[in-house]
Amino acid sequence: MRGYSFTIKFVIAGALLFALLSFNWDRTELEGRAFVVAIGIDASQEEGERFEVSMSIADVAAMEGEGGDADVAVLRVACGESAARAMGQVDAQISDKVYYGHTKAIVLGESILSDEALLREVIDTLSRKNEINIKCIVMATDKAAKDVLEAKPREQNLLGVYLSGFYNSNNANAAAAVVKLDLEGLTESLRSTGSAVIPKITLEEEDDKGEDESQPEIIISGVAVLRDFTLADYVPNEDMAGFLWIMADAAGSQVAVDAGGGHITFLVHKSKATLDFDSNGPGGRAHCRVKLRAEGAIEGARFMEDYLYDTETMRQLQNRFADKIHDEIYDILRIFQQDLGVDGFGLKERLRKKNRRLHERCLDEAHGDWQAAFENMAFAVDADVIIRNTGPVK
Amino acid sequence: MTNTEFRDGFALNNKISLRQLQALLFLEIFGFGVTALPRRVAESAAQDGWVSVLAATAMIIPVVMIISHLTKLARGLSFHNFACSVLSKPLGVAVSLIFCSRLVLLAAFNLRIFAEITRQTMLPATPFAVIFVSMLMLAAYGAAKGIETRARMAEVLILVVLLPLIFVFGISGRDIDITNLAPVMVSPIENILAGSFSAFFAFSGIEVLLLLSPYLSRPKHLTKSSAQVTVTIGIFMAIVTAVTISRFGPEGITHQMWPVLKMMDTISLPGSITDRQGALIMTFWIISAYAIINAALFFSSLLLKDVMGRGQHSGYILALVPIIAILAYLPKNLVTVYDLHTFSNSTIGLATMAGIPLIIFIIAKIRGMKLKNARL
Repeated sequence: MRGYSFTIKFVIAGALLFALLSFNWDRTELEGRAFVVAIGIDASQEEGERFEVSMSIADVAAMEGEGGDADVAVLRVACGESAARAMGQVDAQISDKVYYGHTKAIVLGESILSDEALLREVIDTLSRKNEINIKCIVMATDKAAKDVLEAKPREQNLLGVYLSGFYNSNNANAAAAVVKLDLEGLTESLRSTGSAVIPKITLEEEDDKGEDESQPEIIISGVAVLRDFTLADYVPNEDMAGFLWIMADAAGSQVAVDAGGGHITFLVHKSKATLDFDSNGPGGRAHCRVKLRAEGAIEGARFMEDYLYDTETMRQLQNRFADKIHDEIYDILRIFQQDLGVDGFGLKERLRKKNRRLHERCLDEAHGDWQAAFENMAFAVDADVIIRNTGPVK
Repeated sequence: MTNTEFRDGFALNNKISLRQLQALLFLEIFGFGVTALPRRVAESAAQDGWVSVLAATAMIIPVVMIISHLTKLARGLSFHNFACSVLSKPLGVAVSLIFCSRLVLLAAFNLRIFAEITRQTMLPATPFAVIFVSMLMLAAYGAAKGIETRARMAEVLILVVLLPLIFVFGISGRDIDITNLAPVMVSPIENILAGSFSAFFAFSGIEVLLLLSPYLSRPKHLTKSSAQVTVTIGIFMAIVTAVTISRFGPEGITHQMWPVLKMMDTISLPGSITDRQGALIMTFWIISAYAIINAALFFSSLLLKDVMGRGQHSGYILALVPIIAILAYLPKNLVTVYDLHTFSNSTIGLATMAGIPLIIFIIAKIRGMKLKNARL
């Protein structure tokens, strides 16, 4: 019996050793990997091809200082009849194995955004790539995605890393009031309503370029709005402040009002928007009440004027800031509701969660077309601003 | 005076305590069931999927009580001998072979899904055969060592399974949208019940309780212990389901093949130097897969040994290894694997988890077999 047991152990141990010691199918050295930091996708101009995929690939040797003045990223471009095939063609161009695990940003060109079939294929392909993190930033461009990937941000040589850092720092909201969208958010939004609000990245126009600049500057500003999986229009950044208020993502942004000969700036520390729904709109229409509460501090007023320390003045200032926010919210609602006819605020899901019966009624009345239901919705905005701090200067 | 043998301070009497039994059951049931569970219940009950899981837990409790009762009634007899004594020998053999088939299929499906996940997340170019052989050899070695080794291993591994899971879900908790669970309890009752039917099979493996009679040192409190661990597993599953639905939403989750594993992709660790933390959740998944394959090999080999009436169980383990590997390899793709798995659950799974135990229970009652006569 002991001999039998020994044989079993021997066979098991031998098989294990064989299996474990021959594990080299997936052996990949760091130097053998091509790290994709950004992907750009356009419609192809070449005959017989539908997609043009550009990949910004980190040059590890150059990043470690071995490449002299060489760029730290190389751009590889390939075309294919499908998005997956075009991506595969990029892989085939280079000796290293393409790795998407560190991809920071995906840029969709206008030619993709304007074509429903191409866009659907791109989103599906990206979602099926297990290596691509679903938190990867997605941006739209009114140019070719390839051109955007070719441009180098001044502060950071790798576009993908620049975008990631841009959104991770506070300046995304504070300076530019820029919307953030990742791959997961895009797929969710498209699945829910076929619409999406994608932050826009573009390039400085040739005329605006400085003489000492070899290539155009990258500009992150405004959004591209999709309706029914197709580009509806772009909304400039100056109109987008109201969007951030509704999406409760306005911390870090600034509001300035004219206070008689000068401007006073309010820095938002936190904001919260509450959306309630009922059927008390005109004619029994669905009605959305947006209640916004913003808290923050005065960042700048006029030098040597102590009027901020007057309670009544503070109350009036708070009201003026609230009025401005109120107007910004109405402006963006008008743009999305009347000009674009796109629910860019995810109201369909919010209504379903808060008032299922009204949600079903709206869809029934609009024959299942949510965008039509959204266009018919009445809105009331109630903004409340609290100035918590006026700074250390009296 | 007992004839218990001791080695390194541990008793070698082929018996396990109820605490060890709970650890074994937790490991065997929790891991495999939970990976696709949130998707499956959300497909039927949408945001009320977690209610389906709780309902399934309530449904499984009577089954567990019946199985525990039968295990105590067996008075230390092996399941095969007990089934023969209640049902007659031919039926007893048939029932034992059905259980054996169920366990072999469970191991095969588990192995294939484990290999698919491993290839998609970590080892894309490694052949299935290598993953199969590695896992089967490890599981076979553990199974060949007997019930006590398995029980001690479970006591250690349960921490290795739970800690990464708690960590992942704790971190993910910062980034969930709890409103995705709203509105609560509005799904039609038939949808919630359909979700419960799916969730019921997340408890696959609970039927091994029936085979444990000869190995329990003190079966007196078996019913309470097994009910406790089942409720614990059910609560864990409901929490995991609720958190996962909160994270992806009732619509988004239905498009994720393994949403629990995908949770790891969605978190960013503060101050982390790595972008991907998939290895953490894979720790949980690998051990869970190992536990269920190990259990299936162990109990199916015991059943075969009893039916054949000769040899050692380790010999049957070696015979079962290639059968499980071939069965795991046969389905052409993952869609076929899940189709076959669903079919297997609703037929042989339902029979072994509920049908056969209930029939044995009724016949035992009719034949006047009572617990008070059993030596516990």
